[in-house]
Amino acid sequence: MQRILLVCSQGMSTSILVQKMQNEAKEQGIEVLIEAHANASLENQKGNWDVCLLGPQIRYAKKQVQAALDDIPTDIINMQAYGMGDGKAVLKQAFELMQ
Amino acid sequence: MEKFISKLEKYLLPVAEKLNGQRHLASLRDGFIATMPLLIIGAFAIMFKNVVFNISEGSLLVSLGIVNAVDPANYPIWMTNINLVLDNIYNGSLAITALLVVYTIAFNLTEIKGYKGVEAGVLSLAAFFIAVPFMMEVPISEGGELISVMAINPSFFGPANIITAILIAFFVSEVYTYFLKREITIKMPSEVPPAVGRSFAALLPGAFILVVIAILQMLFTTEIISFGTYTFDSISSFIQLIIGAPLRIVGGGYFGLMVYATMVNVFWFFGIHGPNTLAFMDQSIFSPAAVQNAVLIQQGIVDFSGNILNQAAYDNLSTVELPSIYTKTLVDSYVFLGGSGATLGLIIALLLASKNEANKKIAKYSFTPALFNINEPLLFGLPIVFNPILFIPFILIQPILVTTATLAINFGLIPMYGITIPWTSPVGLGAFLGYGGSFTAMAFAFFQLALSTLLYYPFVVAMNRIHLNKNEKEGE
Repeated sequence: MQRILLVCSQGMSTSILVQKMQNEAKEQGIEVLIEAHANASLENQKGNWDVCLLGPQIRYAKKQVQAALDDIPTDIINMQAYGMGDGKAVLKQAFELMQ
Repeated sequence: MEKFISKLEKYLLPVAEKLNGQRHLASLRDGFIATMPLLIIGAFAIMFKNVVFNISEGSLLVSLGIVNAVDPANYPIWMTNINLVLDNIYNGSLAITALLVVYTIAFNLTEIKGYKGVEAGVLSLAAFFIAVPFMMEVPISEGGELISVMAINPSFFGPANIITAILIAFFVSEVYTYFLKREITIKMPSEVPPAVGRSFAALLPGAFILVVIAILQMLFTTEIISFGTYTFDSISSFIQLIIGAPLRIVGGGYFGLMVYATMVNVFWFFGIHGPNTLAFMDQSIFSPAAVQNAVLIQQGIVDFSGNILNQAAYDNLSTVELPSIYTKTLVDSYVFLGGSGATLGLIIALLLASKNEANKKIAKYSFTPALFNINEPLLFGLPIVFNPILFIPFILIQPILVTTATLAINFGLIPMYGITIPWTSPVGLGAFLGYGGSFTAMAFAFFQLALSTLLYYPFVVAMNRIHLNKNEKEGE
């Protein structure tokens, strides 16, 4: 099972996106673990995730997040997809990043 | 314009990175977030006391004829009892803001530094008690001779002393983690349970912290440290005068709020979370100011409208204890309408005038979260972020709305002092609750919303024109 971590500053608007991505994954029949965490609480997350996507509002924190997660593939969520809560597009972005 | 924007971004991004990554500022943010539920419960208690269970002429229950205001002797006992319950809630929430944050900030800073926070939090609370005066002067009878009694003025536990709480929490956490990092601790054999081991590890840093704070406090109370004729009865009083008062005067006024409101949107324009980045301003100045207003209203010194009810007590207030117009409540009620940048106004303007189907769809999608002042969908979906057409209205709207609200307050059109409300309160409801159940405040919030719609309207029209031009070109 693939494990996708979304990171933003408080985990509020990103948690809406998580829901949409989970629905999308269910529809496509993909088994996947998706969670949203706040930027400040990543200490104990090392090794738990395969890929990490950052909310665009904290894109400046990419290096710091990547360091906290043992350099797993990390990218910024596409701004429009984030804004519209486009679960399908973000799920696709995550899977492309893992390859 | 595009050049200017990219230049500004180059300058702002590192600033945002510093401010957000800074551990002390992050602990401040998380420490205050932890106290938010209590502060909101306390503010609601005061709101109920003033709006519903108020026994002065013209208040709700009096005008309904349920309570006879003319004769205080006939106040029903249940009324007095309800007010006592509300006062008790206040005592355990707003009244102890500084006590709460002195623990939560030290706890969070220590956790961020990678150690367990409980021990540092407890040490911080202990250090804070050393730093307040245990003697207080009270009159023997009303207006009588002053005598010194052993008592703590509750003002030292409240919002007026938050700056002291922050500094003590930082100091304690720094010293504590310094000792732990260099392993200057009493080590227990490995058979001892970790919780016991940790409490022993806190012994040496704890002793050091308490001794240092205790000596410093002694130097103030004995007036060994004094500045000419200025003497201080405690570390707290010293910090309040030296740091609290200047911060309040420089940052806590119209100018300070303008800088805050403008910069929040400048950061957002570049896609950086503005309120989070500038949380330190909000949490050291504008949120405590709203709590302090609540304290003064609860004590019957001022009311929401700005009337001074107890002149003698008012004259005794120090600079950090004065009520303030410029609070987080003002921006939450009259400026952040639908989120930073009053974007509910933009959504309405889009729904009214946009000829771009995609934009209309985003406006509809963004509407529900905007009712609770969440506007990321619009910021990133429309987008507002990096959108040169919206740069001018988005940056200017908050200073304009702060100014109209300040003018309305100064002309006496709307209530003067706001108390803590949740930032997610819908437009109108927030103003109603924050300003003591005032319908004029609610109406003014809707006036501000109409004003923001009007300000965004011409730019929505401009977006239409650009959209149509583009379509025509593509059609050729």
